Amino acid sequence: MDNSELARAADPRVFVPYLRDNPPRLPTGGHGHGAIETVRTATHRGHEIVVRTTYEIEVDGRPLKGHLNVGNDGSVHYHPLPNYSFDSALDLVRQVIDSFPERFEAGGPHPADATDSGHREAHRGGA
Amino acid sequence: MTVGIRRDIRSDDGARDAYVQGVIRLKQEDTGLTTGDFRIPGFAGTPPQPLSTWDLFVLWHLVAMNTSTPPGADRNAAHVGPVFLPWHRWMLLLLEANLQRVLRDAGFGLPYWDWAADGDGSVDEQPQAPVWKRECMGGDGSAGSEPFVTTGPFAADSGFRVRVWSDEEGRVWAVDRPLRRRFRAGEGLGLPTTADVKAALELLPYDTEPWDRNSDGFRNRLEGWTRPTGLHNLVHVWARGDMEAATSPNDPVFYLNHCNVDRLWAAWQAEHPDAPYLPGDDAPGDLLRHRLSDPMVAFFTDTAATPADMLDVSSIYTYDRLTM
Ligand SMILES: [Cu+2]
Repeated sequence: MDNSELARAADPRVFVPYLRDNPPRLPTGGHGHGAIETVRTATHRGHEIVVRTTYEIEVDGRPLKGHLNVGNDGSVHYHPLPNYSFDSALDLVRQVIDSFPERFEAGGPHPADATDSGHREAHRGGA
Repeated sequence: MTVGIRRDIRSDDGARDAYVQGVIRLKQEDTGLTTGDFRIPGFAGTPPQPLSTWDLFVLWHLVAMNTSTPPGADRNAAHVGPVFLPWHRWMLLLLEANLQRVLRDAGFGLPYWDWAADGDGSVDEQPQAPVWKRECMGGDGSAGSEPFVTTGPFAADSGFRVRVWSDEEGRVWAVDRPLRRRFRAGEGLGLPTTADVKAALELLPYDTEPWDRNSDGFRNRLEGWTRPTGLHNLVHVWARGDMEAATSPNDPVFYLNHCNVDRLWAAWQAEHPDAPYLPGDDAPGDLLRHRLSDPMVAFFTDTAATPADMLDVSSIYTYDRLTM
């Protein structure tokens, strides 16, 4: 890696045509279902441990479907809030409501209300 | 060969003014690409949005973040694992190269924000630190459910518009709105301190099993997963608004934070010259994208740098100060 390599990659005459031909996939779809399954594995005294946890989260009766992981220490990480870890899934949902307040206001716009019909087809499974 | 010098935005007005000017130019540099080219749907009827060079970096970050390594894992191709530091070093190098281009200054060095110096002060005063002044990044968002930034070069009335945004379920949408910030200071949460930084710099090794947010070692502490939330993560969580979503590179403060994180890695490297990057190439395949010679997630071209490429960048830039 040197300056000239970087300057080449930072030239719009190079990267714009490249991206036009190779647009990467982005997480535009929901997960499509309400349940989020997480798997933890470990080995203890030669025994294989698998812990599967299924979360079904609702706020005001509406499912919350972002991707979630449980760490070996039991803490919860929610991908749409990538810099947080939580002691519990309840704390996580509290933070989601605090961080996206306008999304939980009665009558506020919800992605499901979006008019773009390409949205469903654009789903590629996300993270 | 020009070696740029990266300086503290708190004290270097020249670097500050150049960065602000460069951000404005990259944000105004229309690429001709739109959110439609990436099949990003419009939020609540928003039509396809034009994408600037600045906005493309937001997409790169999203692509890396949404590449779970291995699939289904918490760890992704830029975070929650060893590659966190080299991937962001590469991202900063490419942003810096674009800034050099639009500023016509091959010697421009990205400034860093030594947030620990502000974190050492009282929590109440942290929102008034130099980095949040009008002539720098502007300040907190306005109170209420739309916390738009109202001061400084990226304020709502400046024409700075956020074009892509990741929602509460991690879906990406085309939007057209001002930048959001919602500082935590009112809740009594402070920025990381110099003592936090010094404790992290002593840690060895670079990273270790399970190579995620439960790891001991330097990378995990600097990324901020050791609870309570610290260092890099705490800065995102403190500023909130656009800084706490997966689209955090929308806010120019993102790069000031990451440049400081990169500086702390450089300081750690200088302090522990014999400590290797880990894991090496003999590590198992589920660490793909995190091992020494693995290709990192590229975006602007199909040439992927590796963590190994990022270990010695002394021919490209240096920091004015590695002491804390
Ligand atoms: Cu990041």
